[in-house]
Amino acid sequence: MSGGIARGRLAEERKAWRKNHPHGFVAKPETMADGTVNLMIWHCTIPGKQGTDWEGGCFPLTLHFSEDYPSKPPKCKFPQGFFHPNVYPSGTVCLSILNEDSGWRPAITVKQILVGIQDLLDQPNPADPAQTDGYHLFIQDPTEYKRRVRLQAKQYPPIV
Amino acid sequence: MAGAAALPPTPPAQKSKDQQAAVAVNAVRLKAIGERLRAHFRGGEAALEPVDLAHLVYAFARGIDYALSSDDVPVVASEIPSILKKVYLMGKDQFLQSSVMVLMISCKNACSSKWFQPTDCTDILRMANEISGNFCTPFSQPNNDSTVIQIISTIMPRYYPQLKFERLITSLEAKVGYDVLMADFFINRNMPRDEKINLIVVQKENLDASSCITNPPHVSFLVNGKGVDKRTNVSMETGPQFPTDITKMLKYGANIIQAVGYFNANYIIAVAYLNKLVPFNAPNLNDYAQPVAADPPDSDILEGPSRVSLKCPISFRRIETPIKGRLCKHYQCFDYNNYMEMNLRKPTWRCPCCSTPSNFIDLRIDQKMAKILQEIRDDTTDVLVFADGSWKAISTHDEKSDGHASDIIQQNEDCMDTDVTPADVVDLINGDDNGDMLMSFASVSKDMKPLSDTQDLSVADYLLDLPISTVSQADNLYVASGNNGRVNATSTSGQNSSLPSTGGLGSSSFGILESILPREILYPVITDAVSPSLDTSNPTQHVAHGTRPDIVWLQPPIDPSLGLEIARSPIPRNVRREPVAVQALPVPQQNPGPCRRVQPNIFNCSPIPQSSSASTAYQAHQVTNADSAITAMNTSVGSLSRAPDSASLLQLQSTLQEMRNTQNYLQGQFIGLAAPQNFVGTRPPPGNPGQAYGASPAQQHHHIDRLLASNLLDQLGQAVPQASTAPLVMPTQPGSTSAMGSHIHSHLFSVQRSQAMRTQPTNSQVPSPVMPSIPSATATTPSTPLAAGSGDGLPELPEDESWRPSGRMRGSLTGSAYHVAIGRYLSNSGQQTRQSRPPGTDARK
Repeated sequence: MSGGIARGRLAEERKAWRKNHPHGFVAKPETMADGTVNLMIWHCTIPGKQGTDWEGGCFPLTLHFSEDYPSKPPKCKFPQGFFHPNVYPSGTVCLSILNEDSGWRPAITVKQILVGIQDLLDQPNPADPAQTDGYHLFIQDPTEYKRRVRLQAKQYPPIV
Repeated sequence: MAGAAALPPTPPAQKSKDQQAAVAVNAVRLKAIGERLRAHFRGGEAALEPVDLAHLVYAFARGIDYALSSDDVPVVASEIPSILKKVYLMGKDQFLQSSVMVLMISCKNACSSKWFQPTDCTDILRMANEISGNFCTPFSQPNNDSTVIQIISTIMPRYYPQLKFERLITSLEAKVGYDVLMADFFINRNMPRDEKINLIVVQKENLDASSCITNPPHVSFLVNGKGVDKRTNVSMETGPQFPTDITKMLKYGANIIQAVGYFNANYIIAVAYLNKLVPFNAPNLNDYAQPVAADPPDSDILEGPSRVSLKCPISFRRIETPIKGRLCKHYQCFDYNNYMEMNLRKPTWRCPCCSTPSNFIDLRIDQKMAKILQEIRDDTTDVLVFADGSWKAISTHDEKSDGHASDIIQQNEDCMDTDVTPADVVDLINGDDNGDMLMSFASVSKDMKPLSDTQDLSVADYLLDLPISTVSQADNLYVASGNNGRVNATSTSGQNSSLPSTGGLGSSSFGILESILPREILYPVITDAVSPSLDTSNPTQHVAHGTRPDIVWLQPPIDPSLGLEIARSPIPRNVRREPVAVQALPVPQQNPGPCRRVQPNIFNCSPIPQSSSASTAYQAHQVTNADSAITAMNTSVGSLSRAPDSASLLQLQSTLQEMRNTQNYLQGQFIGLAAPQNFVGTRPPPGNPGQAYGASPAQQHHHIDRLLASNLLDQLGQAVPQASTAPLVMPTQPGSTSAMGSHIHSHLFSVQRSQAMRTQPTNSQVPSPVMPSIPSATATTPSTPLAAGSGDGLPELPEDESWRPSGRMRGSLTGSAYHVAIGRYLSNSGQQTRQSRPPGTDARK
């Protein structure tokens, strides 16, 4: 019935993004091998915020939209094993605005999602950990945590 | 035996010959099974193994069901009660229990079909109840179907407007706690084929929110032993659900519905016939009426214009039928069709903008918006709605220039990436210089300055979009500044006293912001910040002006870890700071700016209220920098902390401009000395470092270094050519320049240090342009950078005092371009505030 609404909205999101988007961010729908565009999966890049340990990294993020979008938020995934207290081992980001039952609203744009995740990078929410590794270091060993974050930022250099 | 269970779906109306034959066969089978059971109970050779016995009992039950569903009363019916009593005794055997239960349910239904004598019926029902006690929590009280029907008829029009409730089949009520509930119900073969049987689960309380139709999270529902899709713990759907069509899981005859698990609230569980309303006719929606605020409006708060999008926040396409929830307070509408489509897919029934529960009967047409949509061109995407109800289209030109600005970003990036050689650095500086010249003197608005444009755009972006609802000290400060601006705007004095209390509100600060601007919740009005390159630096500068008292108040405590400047004792530091800090400071006494200028700032900064937890500390970092020399810059950054990096660069703009102004117009004049002195008392005492500021010093330092690197780089770029090429500069100018140089110098090391590991290209550039600049900066002063940094403060003090607020400086800020821009965006709201401007201001331009 409303597969149209998800795709229509995503087409508009794409337009809006092309018109104007925050500096350093990348977001584009997946292009299939035959050249067609799959609007339901977006490949994005989130730059680490300047002045944080995340600076210098350009972190790849994939947004998986469902046919229920925008009723339901997209699933946002970093690469598997991404180091961050609020990222599941699968890479899925745990963030209130991405939770259908708490913070998600259909009016939230792709841009807001990406900027929100950028914020989350340097401001993990220890109240809602999603992985043990990142969480324990964040709580117990801030120095090592910083080191790991910086290391990870180096692992994802900007594609120039 | 198994074959008997498969009930062929035959047309119920007329019994075909086949079916008559089948019923006859079934009767014979029942009789045979009855004989076999009796033989078993007689014992001896005929005794059956438990497995076979169980099968036999199941078969007996199925036979009864079949006869029942065919409205047949088999000849064996009269013998059933006696058989049943013996079977009941077997029910104590765990293995046979379930088969006995099934038979009991079948017989219960047979009772209601008057197969047996009334006395037998009573016995059978008693036995059935007893057996069912082994399978579920005993029924505490009989269900009150009228309650269930009442609840269902309440929720249907709200959440399932496209469904029609026909009649109830059975229902259960669940109380809070662990429960195993079961109900059996009988489906007659005569059931209309087009009717669908649905499972409806509704939380009894709170029918106003769609959460009431959410499946209890820890309860699984089973029909005839099979899990109901999306309602079991293995396939649980979160959030509000539609009734589940269970027609395909049912069979004619006896069926069982079970609910197992922990109920977190009181629920009703109903099996009922529901029909789809096809076609679904939209009812006439009532008109929207703005809810009246419960609290009397604060007379100090003026409502500015709100930017409202004509695009539906669901589809991002133009709204056709503008609706919103009855309880929504925002201007923003959404489209009826989109909303219905979304909620007929998943019945969330929450406003896509504010998440307020807005079920079907709460929907209202916003006639005002409908009128606007009718009157306005199709390509207009946004309107400004003013407090008095008037509105104005925002021309598409602005949108285009947004795009233009983003192009500039790209160009700028390219420049940045290639500007690594000293020669390029010079170019960059000159380019900056020119841009600044244009802005300051010629007021030509075609300002392509990469930094300002880039950052300006970013500010707009972030302010518009950042999902921020977090509370931090920075937020307090931020709100305080916003408040202060408001105070100015309403010509009230005593900002100072109001500040600490505002700042002290802590976690409610965001709420304050919201209450200041109830209408801007969704789409804050972006005025100058997104305007084309006209006045890119001005808004920021205005912010600095408007929040100037805060700036002083905000001065963070000294952090001994921050290096040279910080190591100084607080009071001299304060004195010394003024020459530099003052550059970004406005004139306190005659400051018409704030009322007018802060307003856009507030609008810009009023974020979309969103419950994101990510984003807090960042602001805190900004504001909490303890570096004295650049306090003004940093605090200004704090006031714009939604977009810290860009804000800092913007602030740089203003700083540069101020500096330029002072150099060119106001040599020997120091502005704002009075202000710092006045407000010294409001600064946090130096003995309480970090008291009101959340971020850790290390982080602050780290972060501020970054800010400084970019700030000072450009500052230096400005300062150096000026200082070296203008021999007529008053003594104070070299002084401040050298002070700057020293600041840069001292920061440079930390910047370099902190950047050593970074790989981003722009970062790596930061030190390199600075490095060649430093010698020239320091060369203008006889002292070493270090000595200058620590020594030039005191000599400057007298000069500070000779500085006084300058109209010229301000004039450069309120150039004609600025007026054009501000006029365009604030033509209405500006009227309120302009009244408070001193009459001389405009003349000074």
